[in-house]
Amino acid sequence: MIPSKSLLAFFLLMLAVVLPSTKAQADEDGYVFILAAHDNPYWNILGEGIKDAAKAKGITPVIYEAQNGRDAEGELTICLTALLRKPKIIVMGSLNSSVGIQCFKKAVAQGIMVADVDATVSVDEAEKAGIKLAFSVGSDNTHVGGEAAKYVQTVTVKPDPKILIIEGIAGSVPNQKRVTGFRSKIQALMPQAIIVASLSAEGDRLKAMNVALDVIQRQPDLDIIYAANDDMALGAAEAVRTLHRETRIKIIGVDGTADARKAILDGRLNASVAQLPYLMGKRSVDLAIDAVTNHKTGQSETTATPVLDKALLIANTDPLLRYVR
Amino acid sequence: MFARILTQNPNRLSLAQCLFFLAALGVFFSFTSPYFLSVSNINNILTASAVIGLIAVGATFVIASGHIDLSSAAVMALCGTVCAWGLQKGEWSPWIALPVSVSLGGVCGLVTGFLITLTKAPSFIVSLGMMSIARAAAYIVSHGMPIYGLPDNVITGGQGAIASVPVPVLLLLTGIFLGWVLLTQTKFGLHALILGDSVFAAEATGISANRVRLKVFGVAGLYSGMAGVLFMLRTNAGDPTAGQSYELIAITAVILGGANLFGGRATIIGTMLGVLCLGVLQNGLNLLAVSTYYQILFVGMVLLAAAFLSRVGYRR
Repeated sequence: MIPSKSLLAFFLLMLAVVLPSTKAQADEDGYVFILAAHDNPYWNILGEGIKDAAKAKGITPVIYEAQNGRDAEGELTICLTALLRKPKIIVMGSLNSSVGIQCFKKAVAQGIMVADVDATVSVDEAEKAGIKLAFSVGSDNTHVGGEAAKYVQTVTVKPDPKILIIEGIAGSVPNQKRVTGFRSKIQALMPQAIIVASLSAEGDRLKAMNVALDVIQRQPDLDIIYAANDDMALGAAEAVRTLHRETRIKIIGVDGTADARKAILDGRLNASVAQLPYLMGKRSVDLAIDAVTNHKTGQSETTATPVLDKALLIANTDPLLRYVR
Repeated sequence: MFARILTQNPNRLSLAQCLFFLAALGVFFSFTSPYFLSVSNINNILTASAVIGLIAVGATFVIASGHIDLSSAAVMALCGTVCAWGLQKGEWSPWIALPVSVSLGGVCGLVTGFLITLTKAPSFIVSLGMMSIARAAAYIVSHGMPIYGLPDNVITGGQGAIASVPVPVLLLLTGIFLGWVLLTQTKFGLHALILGDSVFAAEATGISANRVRLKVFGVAGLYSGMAGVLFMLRTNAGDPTAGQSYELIAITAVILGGANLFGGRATIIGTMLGVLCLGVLQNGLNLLAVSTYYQILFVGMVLLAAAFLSRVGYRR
């Protein structure tokens, strides 16, 4: 009744697909990294940093990636599965601090060292939850927003610029921090600045373009657009170009992606605050090896967030640029 | 003889196929991963399947009655967020917050069922509307940020274990048992299946299609509410973004378990086997640390294979 030949063929196909992609046997070193999303360039670049550094240091870590940047329960499940391997250390880039702490508590209970990459769970926050982190490495998204605000001050001659904020995915903690960081810094630096709208484009380029078009129709004297990621900044740049406002409206994005850097050099985008995920990935490997071999704990490291503008990219002298991917 | 019994009864045939598929996955992963057949991993699989499992039990009633509910995951997120808000910001007692949140799911389901009856619009469209409303309400309640840090007694209870069985698994088993009783041992379950088979036949036999529909969506909403509370307990947070696309996974599990997408045939046991198939598959691939890109490919292949097998079975 059950077509056995079909099933046999299917399972052979299954083996052919699964076995070449299996990393199960390659984890003798006991280093496990869990990244928050596989469908996001930021996490992909961070993963590249981990792989390159691991290769250079001669270790073979197991890297897990959650399905998407919204599935907290899925990431927690991956963590529980990873614990079965009984690694020496779990380095987690968690979606939010709740998931990170949940995972870390279970790992610590089994005597496994834990660490954070991307600074979602700080050393202090973990300590409050009774967890001793080996290290936390990452950049601060609130600071990133602040850096964008500082850049606005340098490129605006008016004391009361009109600003549009394009927010990312609703409910995303990094997005919220980037926006609140920008808001608070701009209010501190330029108290007369007017935020004409703060709207979500859900991280999407086309939606950001539409948001920018709508707001510029309503507010033709707009001066600044701050977008919480580069994709949205590039969408806004297309809107500004469509309406021929390139000379008036300055656009600032976040992440420092390859597209954004090209747009900056082409003069379509003014700046992008880079987060250097490659460097974060690299440092997380260095610190993980240090923690496992020397039993160091409590290290906290903040990666730089350079503001990439045309002058900086053309000069190409900043040593941090080699970590911009 | 055994084969004839199976092919004469589509429910048994589906269950047998699903069980065989689950066993095949189990054998495959037992040979490929040394961690697969451990007690802690089996607990992991069951715990990880609990939230989807509860949504899927609710979806079984909806699909049995010939409808589709796309709002289940969004209602789940709303219930979890409201519960977390109540516990943390509203300082509600857990004895109030938990039942209120689960009931909120039931109310959302009743509203969806009522609107389908009122407008005669397809459940697909009405539940899509409810999906947006529930998700938006979750964002509004939480101001778009996860509500993190729930009272210790609630979390300890929710994440603990009774006689070595994790609380989420116990909740899932309770939900399955209640769902099984409702679908197989009550008139309501029978009426839901008849309604799914033919609305005209149901009404000809004196069944009030509107009333059954309302109850079906109400029950599905209650299960979404339970899933929401469970999600909150597992992650220690009321997350407005929780469970994106979980409704599709739940529907997939129900169909994998042998239900007819157009109604009239569904079993709770089949649904749970479907949920377990997906859970085992995901867990096994995670244990093998298969790259996410390959995981997505692989899950798609398995679903296609399951669909192919079910067609082969019915032809014979």
